[in-house]
Amino acid sequence: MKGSHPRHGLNELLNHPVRLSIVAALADVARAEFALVREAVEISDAMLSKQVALLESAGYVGVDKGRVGRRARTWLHLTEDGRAVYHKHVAALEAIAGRGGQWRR
Amino acid sequence: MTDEISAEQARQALDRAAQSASRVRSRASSLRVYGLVNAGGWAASLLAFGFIEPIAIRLTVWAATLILSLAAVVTWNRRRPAQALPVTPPRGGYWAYTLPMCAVEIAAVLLGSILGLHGEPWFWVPASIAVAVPLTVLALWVPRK
Repeated sequence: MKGSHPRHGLNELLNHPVRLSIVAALADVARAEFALVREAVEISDAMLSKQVALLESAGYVGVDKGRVGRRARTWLHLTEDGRAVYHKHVAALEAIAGRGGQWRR
Repeated sequence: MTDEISAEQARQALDRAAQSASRVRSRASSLRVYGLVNAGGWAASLLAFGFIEPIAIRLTVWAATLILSLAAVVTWNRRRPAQALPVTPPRGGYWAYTLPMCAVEIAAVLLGSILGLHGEPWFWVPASIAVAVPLTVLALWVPRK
C-alpha cells in the first residue's frame, strides 16, 4: 500500500548504493563511456557490467557500442524512464534527509 | 531496506550520488568550449585575412584557420568520455549565435576587399571582435559544470 511517507517514492532497484551511483553518474550527461562510469563509481568492470545489466533489464539504462578511431567504446546512457525514476528517488531521499535539493545543480 | 532508511543513510546516499555525478559531468564535452574555440578561431581567421600578404597565402591561412578551429572542436568532442546533455540557448537557439558570426565574417571579408582596406587595423580589429561576440556570448551563457 502506498502512503504519504517519502520512503514510498524510493525505488527498490536504486536502493542499492552502487546502482544509485551509476544512475547518478549518468543523470547529468547525454551519455558516458563505460570506463568513465567505472572510475567515477570506483568499482570493477565485472561489478559495473553486472549492475548495468540489471538496470538495462529494468529499462533504466541503455548501452551502445561504437568506435572512436580504432578504439572500441561502450557508451551508457539513462533512458527517459531511468531519469524519471532517478529524480523521484532523489526527491524521496532529500525528503527523508530533510534537504531541499541542496546538492543538485 | 526501504522501510528502514534513516535520514543519515539518505544523506550518505545523496552525497555518493552527487560525487559520482560530479566526476562524470566534469569530463563531459561542453558547448562552452565549442563557443570559445570557434569564436577565437574565426576572429583569428579574419585578422589573418586583413593583414597577411600575398593574397594566395592570405586565403590559405584564412581558410585553414576556419577549418582547423572547427576540426579541433569536433575532434575534442568526439574524444571526450562523456557528452553533455543537449542545451537550447536562449533567443533563437544555437543557430541564432552561429549565423551572425558567419554573416559578420563574410560581410567583413567582402567589405574589406571591395573597399581595399587590407592592413587597416581600425577596420580589421573591431571586425574580428564583432565576429567573436556571438559565440562568446553563447559560451558565457552555458552553465558551468
